Amino acid sequence: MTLLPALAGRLGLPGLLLALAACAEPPPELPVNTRLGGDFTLTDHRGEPFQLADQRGRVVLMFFGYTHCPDICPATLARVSQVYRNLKEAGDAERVQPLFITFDPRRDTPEHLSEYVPWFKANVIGLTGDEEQIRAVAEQYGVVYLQSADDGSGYDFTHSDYVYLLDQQGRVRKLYPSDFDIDEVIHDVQSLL
Amino acid sequence: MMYKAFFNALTGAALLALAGAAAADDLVLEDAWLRAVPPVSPTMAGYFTLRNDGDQAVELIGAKTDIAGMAMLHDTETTDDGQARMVHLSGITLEPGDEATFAPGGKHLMLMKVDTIPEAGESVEICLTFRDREDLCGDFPVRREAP
Repeated sequence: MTLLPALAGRLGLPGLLLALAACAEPPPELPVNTRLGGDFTLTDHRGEPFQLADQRGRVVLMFFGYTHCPDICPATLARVSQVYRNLKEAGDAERVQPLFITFDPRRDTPEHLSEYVPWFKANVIGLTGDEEQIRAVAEQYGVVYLQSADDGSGYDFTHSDYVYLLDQQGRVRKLYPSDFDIDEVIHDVQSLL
Repeated sequence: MMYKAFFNALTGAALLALAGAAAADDLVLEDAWLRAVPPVSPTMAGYFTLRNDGDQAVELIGAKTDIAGMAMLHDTETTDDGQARMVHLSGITLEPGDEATFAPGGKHLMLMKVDTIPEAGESVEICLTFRDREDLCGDFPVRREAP
């Protein structure tokens, strides 16, 4: 009896209830991240307008990068594609949509993206826009990126490389590092279907 | 006399050949691969492990391959807040017994100005270059996933 008030003092009553619930119940569902996210409109790799709100009813795996990036971006694309293909084998791909948003619209035009993203065979939609549009979306999702000076061999970006899990209402439910565990993401996606 | 000179020359050649073999063996290139990327990509990343089994320090300073206009050693630095940044490595010194690992998300070989992107299943010869030392060449198979 002395333990519970002490714990309640530390955790607060909701925290205590959660802690008690955690003992008996399966893990709680993924929390909604209310500080990040929101609708946006960009241009897809077919040159058509793309609005995130049109993805309602689908779980979205979204990340940012650029096609001239040789290391992390293709690796992340490959891993997200693997998640998609595994979900497809499980019969769950219908309501899952991978999105790749470039922050290099100068080089990553719809034409360029249309030759890049289909190669991954995971129904990835490549998204681009003008620099202001992309910067606005990056801000909504807390993505930081900085273009380097062109040293003659081209330029690259310093950037955050999280992968975002959005639920069927377009709300951010989880962020993963780019070297995420494939089974964890599959499990999380399935929990939202 | 003639015979002795000939013998000495022969011995010298044999010793040189032995020394050459030892020099080639004391640097070991393993687990080399290139990540397959869409044909439209201008860049590719290569990965490998390099081990110095010799008794001299070596300095890896770059790489070259026929398929790329330029090849550089890069590192991907990730800050605490999750930002990734590429930095150019001008050289990596391996003391005797040291090993350098180039792997996704970290140090990588960046090939730029690649004319024709090789497909998964193909293999590309890439030569690592060193300061005051001959190149070390190896085959880099192209793969979609890390081995």
